[in-house]
Amino acid sequence: MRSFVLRRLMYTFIALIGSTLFVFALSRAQGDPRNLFISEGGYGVTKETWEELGRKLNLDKPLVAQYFIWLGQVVKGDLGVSVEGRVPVARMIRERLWPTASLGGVAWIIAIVIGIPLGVLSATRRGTLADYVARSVALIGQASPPFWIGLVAILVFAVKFGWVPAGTRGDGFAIRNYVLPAVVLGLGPTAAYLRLTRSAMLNILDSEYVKLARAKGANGRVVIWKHAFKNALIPPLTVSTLVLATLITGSVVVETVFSWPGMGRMTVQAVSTNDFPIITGAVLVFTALYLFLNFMTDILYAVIDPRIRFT
Amino acid sequence: MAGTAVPQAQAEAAIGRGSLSAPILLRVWRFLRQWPVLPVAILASLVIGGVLAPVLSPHEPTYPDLLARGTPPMWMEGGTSDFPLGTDNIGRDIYSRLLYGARISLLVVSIATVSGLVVGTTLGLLAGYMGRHIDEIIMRIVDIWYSVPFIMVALILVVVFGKSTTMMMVLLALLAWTAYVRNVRAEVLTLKELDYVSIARVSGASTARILIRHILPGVVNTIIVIATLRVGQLILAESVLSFLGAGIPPPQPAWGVMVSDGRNFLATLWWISFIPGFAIFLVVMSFNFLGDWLRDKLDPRLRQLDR
Repeated sequence: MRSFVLRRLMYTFIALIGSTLFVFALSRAQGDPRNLFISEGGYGVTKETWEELGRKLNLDKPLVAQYFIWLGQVVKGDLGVSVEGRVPVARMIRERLWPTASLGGVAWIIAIVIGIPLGVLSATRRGTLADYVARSVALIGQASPPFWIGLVAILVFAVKFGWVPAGTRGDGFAIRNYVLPAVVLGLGPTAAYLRLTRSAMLNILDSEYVKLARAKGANGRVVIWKHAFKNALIPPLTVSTLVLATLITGSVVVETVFSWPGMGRMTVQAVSTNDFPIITGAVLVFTALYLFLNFMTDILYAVIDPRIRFT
Repeated sequence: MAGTAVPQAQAEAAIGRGSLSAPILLRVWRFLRQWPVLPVAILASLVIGGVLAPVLSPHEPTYPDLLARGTPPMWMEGGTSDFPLGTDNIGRDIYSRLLYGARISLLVVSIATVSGLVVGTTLGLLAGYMGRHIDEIIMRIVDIWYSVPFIMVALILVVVFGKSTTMMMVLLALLAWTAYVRNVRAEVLTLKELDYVSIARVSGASTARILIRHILPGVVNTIIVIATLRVGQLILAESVLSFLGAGIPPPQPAWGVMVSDGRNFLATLWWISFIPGFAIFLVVMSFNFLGDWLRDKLDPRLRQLDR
């Protein structure tokens, strides 16, 4: 177990270093960083101020040294300032982290609470109405573009019926603001959990030990929930990587659709204005978050399923 | 129509008696369940529409007919058959844009699929057959690639290198290749232990020859299934990036761009966003269906694979 944790920790670390290298290389490939600080065409910039700026940004040092200086700043939480408005990127991200994290968290909970039980239901009652409903949810969740589902949801529930607000979270934590975005964001992950739970459940219900339990006369419910369900939980757990990726992509899209004041929308806006420091900051934070959560689920997975520790 | 409904008892009796005497509707239903007719029909019209877009479209996809702006689809009040699916807020024909959008998607996704497939399969063959260091290096790269959220990589690359159709192909190829590596490798690990491969080896066949002549044919089914299941994901990714303004640059009528264009007119001209989004949904679902069907026919073991 200990060596497993250490190995996962090492991979996470390598991936983290790799992504900082990647971001740093791209930030240099993007052009001279000084260009971000001076006006278009370099009007009014003398050779001296240009070189002065270069020294201030450590551009006179070798590239490797520049990387480590930059990395040191990032570790200390200094992600530079945005091109527009010269706002510290770290502060911008801090302000938007909670809206993004809370929306993603609610969506994740929705996905688990709906996807997994529906998957079990769908597997244990094959061919019934419940099964068809569950499989339709999975089908729609997998094939529909999240931005389109979001727009249709706004069209139907906010514009036509006026049940929920169409857009922004506004101030404070009002549950009704979360309803539409969280459900839309949760749809993809729900479909993923549902499909995996269903197929895992079907496999396990067909296994020898479940047949044995049945043959020994255990009643249906006990077999399903005590014998089969626990093991059927393992495959959905392993796809947490996939679910997380869906959630991150989804939050970028859903925040854009619902004008949600989070990190995803900030990133998309920065893409359209080419605000490079914001993008690098957001990419680093999203990637770190993703790696951290992946690491946690790997550990959880190993705790639940002893077999995994030895592979 | 009441006459077309098949009562449950009658339907069950028909199943017992065999297919020839079954009522026609039941036979149609069974046929539809057995063969992916609908997905294939949808995908065929996608391909035909995309390839023949210049012939089939009644209008220029980027020409704004200002007098006709905001025309609803023809089945709604105020719609005309001149603009079968209506026009957008500046009067561009949605039907024509849809056809040209299909053309763009087809081009981008097929090139990305082929390049991802070639790179991924080659690496998978090498990792599985050569083993040891080569295997270790390739699989670690795949692991690390999996551990970075794709959307972030895509957004930062677009900002650095600018958005273009070529960039889109590169991004989708970057998304596509990993699935092939993992599954092809797993397949090769079993194949290379088989007798006919050992015989080829002792009779002096070169590594390249063994891989191409003896092992590659064994993984073709896997590749086909993955490619089909993957295409839907690529189309979805393309539309997401285009929607976010980081994909196909306007005024090219990519479907994701079209949905995004209609966002501000949702309350009044809802069809501008709805129609292209629905088209994406249908196409992705068709690919998923077809992929599932192919998997069950060609390679049921892959059922454990969930993309």
